[in-house]
Amino acid sequence: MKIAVRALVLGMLITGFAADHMLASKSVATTPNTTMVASNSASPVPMCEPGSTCGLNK
Amino acid sequence: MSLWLHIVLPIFLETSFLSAALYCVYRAEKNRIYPAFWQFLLFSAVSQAIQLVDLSLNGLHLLSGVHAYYVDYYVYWVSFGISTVLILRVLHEMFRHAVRSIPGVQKLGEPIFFWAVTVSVILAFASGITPHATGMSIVLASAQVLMRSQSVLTLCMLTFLAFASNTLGVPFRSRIFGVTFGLGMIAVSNLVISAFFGTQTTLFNTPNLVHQGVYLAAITVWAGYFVQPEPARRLVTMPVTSPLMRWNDVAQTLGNPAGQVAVSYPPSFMTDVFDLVENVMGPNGRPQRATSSTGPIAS
Repeated sequence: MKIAVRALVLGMLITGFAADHMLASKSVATTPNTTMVASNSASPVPMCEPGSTCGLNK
Repeated sequence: MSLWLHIVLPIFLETSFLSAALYCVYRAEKNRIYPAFWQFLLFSAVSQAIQLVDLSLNGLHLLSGVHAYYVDYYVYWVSFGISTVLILRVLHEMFRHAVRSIPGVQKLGEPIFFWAVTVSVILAFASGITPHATGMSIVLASAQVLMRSQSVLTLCMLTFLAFASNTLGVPFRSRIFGVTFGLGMIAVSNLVISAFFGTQTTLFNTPNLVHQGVYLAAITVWAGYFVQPEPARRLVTMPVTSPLMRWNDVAQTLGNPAGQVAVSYPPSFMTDVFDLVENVMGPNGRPQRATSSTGPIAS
């Protein structure tokens, strides 16, 4: 049980750091706001510019 | 149909799940013990409810798409920034509870934690300010970079808890571990989705659906941890000669205004030379013998 949880957490850490490394290399080429689509909620991330409907009903 | 299915339904589910998690925390009477986590859940539930009302009005054709998206955009990004700060507070709260059994390390760890958070915030705003960024885009970029720092910090905290659980006396069924694990799930999802899927041009897309699933699973984990009774915290025992015990002692004495001892400088070659010259020359810069010949004793 303990080993399984630790392996899972280690897997999460490695995946997270690998993804962060990819993000860092992408951020060098572009501005940060076009590379990160992080979210603190389950609602869709609104990445379209305000003034558009972004797929909503007109 | 797709609006209700892809946007309104996940937000409705999230609001319901958050309300259930809030109820579980309140029922376990832990809202006073984990105030930062309680505030985070409450804030998330309120902001989701606002978005739910906004998008439902659009779904019922009572609000135009442009206006509904305006509200959604600003509510989302402002609440995003605030909840990022709240998550940092939750992490600090969990860290404080986790190292409670080692008060010295807790005392020393707090300024280190604040230092890490301050550096993350400064770096986030520094990288958010690009030559072409203006107004909302600076806030948006800064919040996203801050989120990235917070995700990395969450994963580090989760690994610390997983590997130091024995030493800290925090079992995996502990609520401290449960809350951090849920935040870790969100952090991995954020980082992976951001790395593999860049710009999104619509609200309906697969990465959003995946993230919604992970986020709902994280809330379920939190609710589950607060529903079941928490196992009693293990008593931390360690040998007297343990290095951790010595670190704890050292950390406890740091910053303690106890009595101070004056420690003299070790004698150096130059100090000896200055002393010798002063003895020979006297205070007025003349040789000691010449001074004494003109002094009152000679006369």
